[in-house]
Amino acid sequence: MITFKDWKETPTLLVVLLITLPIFSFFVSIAIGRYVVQIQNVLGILFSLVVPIDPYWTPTEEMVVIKYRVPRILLAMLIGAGLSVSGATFQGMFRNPLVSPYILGVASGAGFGGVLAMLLFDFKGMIMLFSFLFGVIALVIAYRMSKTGKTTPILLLVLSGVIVNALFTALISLIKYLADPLDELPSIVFWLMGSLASANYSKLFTVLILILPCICILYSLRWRLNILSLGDEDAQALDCNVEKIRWAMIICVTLIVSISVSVSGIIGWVGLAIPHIARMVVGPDHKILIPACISFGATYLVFMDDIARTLTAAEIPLGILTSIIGALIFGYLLMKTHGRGWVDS
Amino acid sequence: MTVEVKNGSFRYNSQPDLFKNLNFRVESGEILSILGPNGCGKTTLLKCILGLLDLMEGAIYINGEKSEQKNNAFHKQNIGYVPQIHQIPFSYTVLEIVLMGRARFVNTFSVPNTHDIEIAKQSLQILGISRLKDRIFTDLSGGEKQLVLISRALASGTETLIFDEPTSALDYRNQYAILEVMKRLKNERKFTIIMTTHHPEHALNVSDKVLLIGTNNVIFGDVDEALTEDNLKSVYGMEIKVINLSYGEKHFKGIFPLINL
Repeated sequence: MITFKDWKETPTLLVVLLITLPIFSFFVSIAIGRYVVQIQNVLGILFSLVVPIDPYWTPTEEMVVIKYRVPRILLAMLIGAGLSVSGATFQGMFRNPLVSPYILGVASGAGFGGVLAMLLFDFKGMIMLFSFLFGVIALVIAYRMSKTGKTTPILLLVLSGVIVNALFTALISLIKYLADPLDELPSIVFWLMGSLASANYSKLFTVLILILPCICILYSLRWRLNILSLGDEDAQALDCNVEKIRWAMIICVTLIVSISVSVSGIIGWVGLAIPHIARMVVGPDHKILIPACISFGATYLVFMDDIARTLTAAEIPLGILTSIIGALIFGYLLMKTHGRGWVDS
Repeated sequence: MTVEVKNGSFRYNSQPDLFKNLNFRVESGEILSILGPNGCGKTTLLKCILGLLDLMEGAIYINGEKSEQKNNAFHKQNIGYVPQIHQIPFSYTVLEIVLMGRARFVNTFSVPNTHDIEIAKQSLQILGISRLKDRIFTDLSGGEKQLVLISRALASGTETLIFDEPTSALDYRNQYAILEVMKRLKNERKFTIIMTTHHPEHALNVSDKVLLIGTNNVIFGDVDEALTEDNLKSVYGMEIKVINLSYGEKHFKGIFPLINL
């Protein structure tokens, strides 16, 4: 197996790999599905958007590719990249391998907002709005709870997040209990398991303008994450903007998580496993780890979604697949590399 | 660079004063050792000088310029900090660790450039540990780790270094290796150094000035005048002898606690 020391000697190879991986998965994923489209037809359809080409494909193929697969696949890639970068950011910032982007209770908050909207309104747009709002509310509660004087100690913030998480998880259960078991309950349960089946261009557009900038900010702050990962005191002595940078990161992660939950429900394990997998491959330096997470996260979620929509006639909820397959890959790599990148593992 | 504290006092929230009416001044190119029993506020004082905490009363002057919370940034631009060796959860390489010393010069949204990498390598070279460049920091011995942390502080281009108990986790040989590095930085590069220590004999060996923080008293002065048996007794609350020893041609001065268990 290639170790991260080898990558330092061949950085170009790594860059090429990190760029080609998501591009390759994009084209392959458009071709595969219950309705298979030949790869040359996929390329033709996509290029016809830019340059005029006489169609050698069927109108159905064009509709499947343009209307359904392109937005769904791009959505999967952006959410996968976003959740992975968020996970790596939080693991670095909180200096803890058990941390996922959901640690501060944002996902449960957003989940609660979503199911509350399903109970109260018929309009689908309200689900997105409510889950986004409650995701942000969850962070505000965790922040208020942990604020002592002028500072927010990191340990208190995590503890507050655990409390907020428990609170909103209980509220979700309450809503499930109150929901109509024949009609509302199944849709709530399905939504919570996470799915990209309802992907469309308006969702893609929302994600593009809200999640993509956050990913870019986290990417540009990637080296600062090394400094934050040294711990509060050290980091402050090295860089006087530590507190501001930390909050910029927390806000970006909150936006990514609440938007992705509002679009696709709670997709578990991507934000926990991908950063670990990436760290085992490229090492702990966040300068390389963050781009690796973007690439691996996008590729992983898009392939998981391919399986979700292809394997059976009825779609398998994405959250289940990401967890099962994520656990298998993560477990395998853990055995192979003994948790490279972390100390004491 | 001179560092001066006038009438400094500090307390955590509603607790009693940690230290009060603290006065001292370190000139450029001097080494100051801060001594005192556990919990007397040594590390807190260092944090105040670094600008991480604010004095409750009194003021800190760096190069004669008063520093307040508003210009904390000023402190950090000018002072390098060498923390106690502590666990880092990620297996960063030595070069990656030293590069972090460049944080002040790297744009927030950017990554270190080749110039920064060059300076990091030079900092390793100054301490003669270039060979450790690609090793994993957490795999190093205590002495090596301490040298890497000093390199990191050097990489930040400072001429004033603050050490928090630099020898506390080290064996005899490494303790003196680190003290020798401090002395070298002072002599060859005119560094101003402030360190806390639990070893009065280390203070005796390397420092020009000492600050003794006791429960009821604070003593500051030149090392020979301040490190007396009476002063040490008043600060540590036990009998401590200062002894002169001749070995061959050389004369040594040592500090010896009178313990008979």
